Amino acid sequence: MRRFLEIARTGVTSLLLFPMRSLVTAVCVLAALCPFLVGLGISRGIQAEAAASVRGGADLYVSGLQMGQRVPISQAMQLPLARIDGVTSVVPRIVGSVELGRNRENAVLVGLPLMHFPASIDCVEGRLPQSSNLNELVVGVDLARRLKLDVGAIIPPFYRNDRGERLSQVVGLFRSDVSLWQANLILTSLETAAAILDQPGMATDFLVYCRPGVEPFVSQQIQQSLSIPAGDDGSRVRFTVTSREDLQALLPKGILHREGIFNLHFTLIFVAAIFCVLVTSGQGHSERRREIGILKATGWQTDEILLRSLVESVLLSLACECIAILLGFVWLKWLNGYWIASVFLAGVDAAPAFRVPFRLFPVPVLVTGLLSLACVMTGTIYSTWRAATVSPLVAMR
Amino acid sequence: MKDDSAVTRTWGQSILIAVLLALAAATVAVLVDDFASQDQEDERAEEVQRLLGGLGFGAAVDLSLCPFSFDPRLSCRCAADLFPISGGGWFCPRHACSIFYYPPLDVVAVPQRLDSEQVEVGNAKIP
Repeated sequence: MRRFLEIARTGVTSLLLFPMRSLVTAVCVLAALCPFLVGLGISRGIQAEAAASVRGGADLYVSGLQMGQRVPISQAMQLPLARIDGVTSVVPRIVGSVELGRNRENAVLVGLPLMHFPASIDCVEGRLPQSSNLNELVVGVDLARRLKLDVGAIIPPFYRNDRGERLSQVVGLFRSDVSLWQANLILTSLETAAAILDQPGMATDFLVYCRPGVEPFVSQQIQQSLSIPAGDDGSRVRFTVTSREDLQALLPKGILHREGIFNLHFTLIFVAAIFCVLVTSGQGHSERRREIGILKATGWQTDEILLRSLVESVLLSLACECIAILLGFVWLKWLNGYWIASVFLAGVDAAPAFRVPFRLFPVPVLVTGLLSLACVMTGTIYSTWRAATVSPLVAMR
Repeated sequence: MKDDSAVTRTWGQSILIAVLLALAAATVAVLVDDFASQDQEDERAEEVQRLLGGLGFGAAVDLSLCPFSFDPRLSCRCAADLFPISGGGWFCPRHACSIFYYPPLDVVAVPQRLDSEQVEVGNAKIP
């Protein structure tokens, strides 16, 4: 045991013997590890937010389907849906895309009935929309920053409606740390949203809340017992129902993003990192080869040299992993994912105004730990073994 | 001289081990902070989701190019899959380098009961 510890201590010494090599190896591994950890952390953060979106949402989402695409349906369908046994409430919702401002900023407009809004809520600075002569809006933090809006700001008409347009007033702003999807959001009443989109009496979907356990029955009843009246031209719209279970089934597949470009890019980068470590460890580092030759000439066995190299690799990969986690934390928490959030999140500025979601523990940390070990060890152990298995005279040349 | 180099080497090892331990301690502190804040973040996220009725799912923050990558409840598949060319979803810029991939929601047009209590499947009416 003591011999083992003595050999292991020489592994610590070998890190100091070639400080430049250790530094270059660490930089090569960190260059690949840090952005991978950050990307994986953001992916996990989005997954956590998506899970919250499913948990906090309705039991069923009912919308129309025509030619394989979702289409809005009449708000008059609220009553037949509410009459289905097992349904506790039905909330019509409008979700649409609008552009406003000089630069045609894209925003997501959401309209919900005023009675759906609670009396007070923590995630909004200001208040929620109420009945008024103006269009009352709650705006997302990124959109507010780009349009230079604050609570109380008045917006001139930014939409067309044959019945006339009204001024809009910002009555609240979403807090920056609640969700990334509020960044470009405009929340208002159902009537205001219908007026802005010029779709009177229509709803994008219905949020159906049911008694626990009866969701499949209600879904079946909606799809088989209810029908939407045919249009004047004979066109038909059918119901489509999305359940909470359908959305939860998407989540595990989201983790397996091995099918995405993200993993492909980083696989190539890690292969390049392994080659860099190979070059710094032995293939291009003649001093290390001579050192191994000297050790062999003085009586060291191949397995002892490999153990020494293993300890050196483990310590180096541990240091790289710790530094990558610290750098990733600083980048995501203190710098709020500056620049890298715009790479991985579509439609986001280099310095997002909302809090970029991320989770470092446990999967990203474990995966990057294994990758760090694999990169350093593959490059180091192989070249060490190559040098240790040749004759000392050849290694010392 | 021999003793001096041995002392230097021992001193260097001690510093290296101390630095590694400090890095490990800082890393553990960071991970504990991350883990401890997860519940609070989940609560805040759920509050706003209850207000909106569940909105947002993917790695996009607007509906401009691909509503599906914003929320599959709004569009069951990438819009580029159907227009302007079929199968164009592979070229959708919202999915390239996507760090949160999910497949299209399977949407089946269920036979719907008509007023005359006939069930229409495709073009055939089945009593």
